[in-house]
Amino acid sequence: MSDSQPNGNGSDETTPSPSIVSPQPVVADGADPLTHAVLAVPPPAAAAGTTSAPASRPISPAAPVSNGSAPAAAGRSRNAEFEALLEAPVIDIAKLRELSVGGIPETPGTRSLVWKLLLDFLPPDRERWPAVLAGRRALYSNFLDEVIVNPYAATATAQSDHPLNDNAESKWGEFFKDNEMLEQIDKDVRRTLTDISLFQSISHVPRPTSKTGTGITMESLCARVDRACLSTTHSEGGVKKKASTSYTPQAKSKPVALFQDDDDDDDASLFGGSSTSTPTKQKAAKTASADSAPFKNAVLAALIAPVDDPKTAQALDALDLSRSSALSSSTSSLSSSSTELSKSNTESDLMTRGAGHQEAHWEVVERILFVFAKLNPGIAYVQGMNEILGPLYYIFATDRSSEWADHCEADAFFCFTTIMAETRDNFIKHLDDTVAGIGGSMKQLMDLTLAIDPVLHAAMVKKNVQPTFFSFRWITLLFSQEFKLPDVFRLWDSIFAHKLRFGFVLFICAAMIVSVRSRLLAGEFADCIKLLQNYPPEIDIRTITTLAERLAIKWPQFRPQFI
Amino acid sequence: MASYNYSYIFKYIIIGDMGVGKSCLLHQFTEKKFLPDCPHTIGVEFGTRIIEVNGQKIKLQIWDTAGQERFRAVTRSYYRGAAGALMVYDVTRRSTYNHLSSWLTDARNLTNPNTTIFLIGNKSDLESQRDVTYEEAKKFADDNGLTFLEASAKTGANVEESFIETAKTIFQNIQNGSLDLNAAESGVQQKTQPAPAVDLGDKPAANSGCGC
Repeated sequence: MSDSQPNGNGSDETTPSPSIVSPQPVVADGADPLTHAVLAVPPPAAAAGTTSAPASRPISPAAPVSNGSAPAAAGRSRNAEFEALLEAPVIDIAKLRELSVGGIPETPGTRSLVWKLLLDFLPPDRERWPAVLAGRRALYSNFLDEVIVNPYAATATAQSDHPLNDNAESKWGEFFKDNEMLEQIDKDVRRTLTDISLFQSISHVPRPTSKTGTGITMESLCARVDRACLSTTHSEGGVKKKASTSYTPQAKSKPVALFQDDDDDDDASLFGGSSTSTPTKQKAAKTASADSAPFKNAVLAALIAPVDDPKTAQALDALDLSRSSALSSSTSSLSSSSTELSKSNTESDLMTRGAGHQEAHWEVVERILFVFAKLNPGIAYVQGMNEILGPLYYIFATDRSSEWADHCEADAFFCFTTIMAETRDNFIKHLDDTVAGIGGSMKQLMDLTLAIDPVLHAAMVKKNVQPTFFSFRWITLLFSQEFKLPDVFRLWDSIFAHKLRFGFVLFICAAMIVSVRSRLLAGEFADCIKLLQNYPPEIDIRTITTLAERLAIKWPQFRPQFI
Repeated sequence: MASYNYSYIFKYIIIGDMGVGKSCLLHQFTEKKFLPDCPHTIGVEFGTRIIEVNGQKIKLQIWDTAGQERFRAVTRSYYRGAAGALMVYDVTRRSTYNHLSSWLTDARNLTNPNTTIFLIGNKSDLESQRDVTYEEAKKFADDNGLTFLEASAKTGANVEESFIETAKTIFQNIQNGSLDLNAAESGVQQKTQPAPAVDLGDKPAANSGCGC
């Protein structure tokens, strides 16, 4: 089948024949004979015009060069090429894609700008940028009003509606449902890229204000979750709970659970008791209008009143305090400078939270995900979306130009929406077993592996190393949990720029499998699964992208049909 | 060399609502460490550890599943052929306890009749936030024929016990013949002793990567 196959397979089970292995130094464990056989094949198919890789791409397949060690001169000329391209009045997107497949320069702001172009957020015509940007950002602002401010305002003011209204049209019903989803998002965003200090630090961009209202500051979504969840957080345990993201603030009971039957009701005080219990719907209904235990009234008060009620405010203060400890404790370990940063952040957090203007970056991420979920009820929120939004947001928020960084929220929202529009089938459960869904993608991956390397494929099948065991996460999260963040950025450069776009993901997966071939052949089931679930960091990302490119050229039948 | 040998492989699954600490329990058991920033699980994660029960070395292969509803269809495929199922709820969140019957239905329907199901109430260190009493959960466990322990992935309390008690029950079932090793989906593999050369590729659990 493949012209490289005989070479690779002939000697793979034993010591690799030195004649096959490239004499150049290669990455430690990527030195599988087949990898190099595949890599070493001159790409004749490239001539057929199927590749998007420019001939001048400074990649030597046999000797993968790590990002930093490329010859300085080549790096400069490459940067100059990007610079020239990006400065043109009308940017040549096709050329930009070609260049970006090989990686976007690390020069400040470049990746942030190029991703916006590659993800169709910015048009190629620079003259149109101000109008397009203004339009899109205004649109996002409207979304915020629509999704966050207005429903809330409606619940707060409508006389005929009330929290216990079980009419399907009740705004409160939707509000509670949203809170459930928010709680999920909230848990996840707090543990988004926790090794990166950015997300725990305070954004210098103030929380957006409502446009339609009287300029009121938008409510904090995490405060809404906390309020709805009624955590008892002042205790030592509560603080700890906030501080450790795996024990993220939990609902004592979800808003909906407030109305579930509970035979274990007791008179715990709401914010200070040793236990909290959930009133039954009937009980809550009874107590809604009449005087009753302070606990139950406080439940409603906390849900209804933003911060006016002193008890609620007190509780929220406690929440803030605990969150601040979480902030400082989670960032203190990073470095002394970030400790200082977090300290000052903590103070400013405490000072301004009441005013509701400043927030941590993860809160911004939370809002983007919530807006997306509300605008796309068919997918809503699925765990893992935060892992896709995270790197994107990071790049935009750290743009050195404040002109860009100040708008990272809206810009990231639109780019995230583009990515989701192209990959969302992976997130939709009922598509799982279809060709379009994640099941189909994983089957494709094994078929491609079979085509590339029947021996390896047979070994994987024999050991029962199924694609769901490892590639489910690879594909849905676009490798964001498999590599260090800089490598994720590099990989996404290639994906966003590639002609096949997300169709290229399949070839990256195959390249990753083939790159650990010898270990997959040698290992037992458990070793193989651990290897693939904890992908060896010593394998250079360039080896993988280069190999993936070759595979995409060589096996065009595995390209997505819809491209 | 001899220490790498084991007589049996038991397959486990860990199930339960999102955020109850399934991955943290696995990590605490395999690495003896608490991982505070454990990311959510997408699909499944995998971990192993060799333990000793009645003088027999047993390798536990543990599948940690994603808790979010979206992943249920995917994670259901892991139930098959599990010798042990650890069903986890969070003692500070009643909703996770309320969902146990649905997890139990899945576990009963999708595993074989001899699968040992063990109930764990995690986060027992957060006593002040307790939302589900021990007695209530114990009664649920007794009513459904489950073994039950409250544990803390954070302090490590009862974590070892949960995994090892499950293994003891499975081992007992093998001894008394109620678990048929030849059945296709018993979740147990017997290794011929001494470990043959095929096992050379296997590494001790301590050296392998974190499955979390």
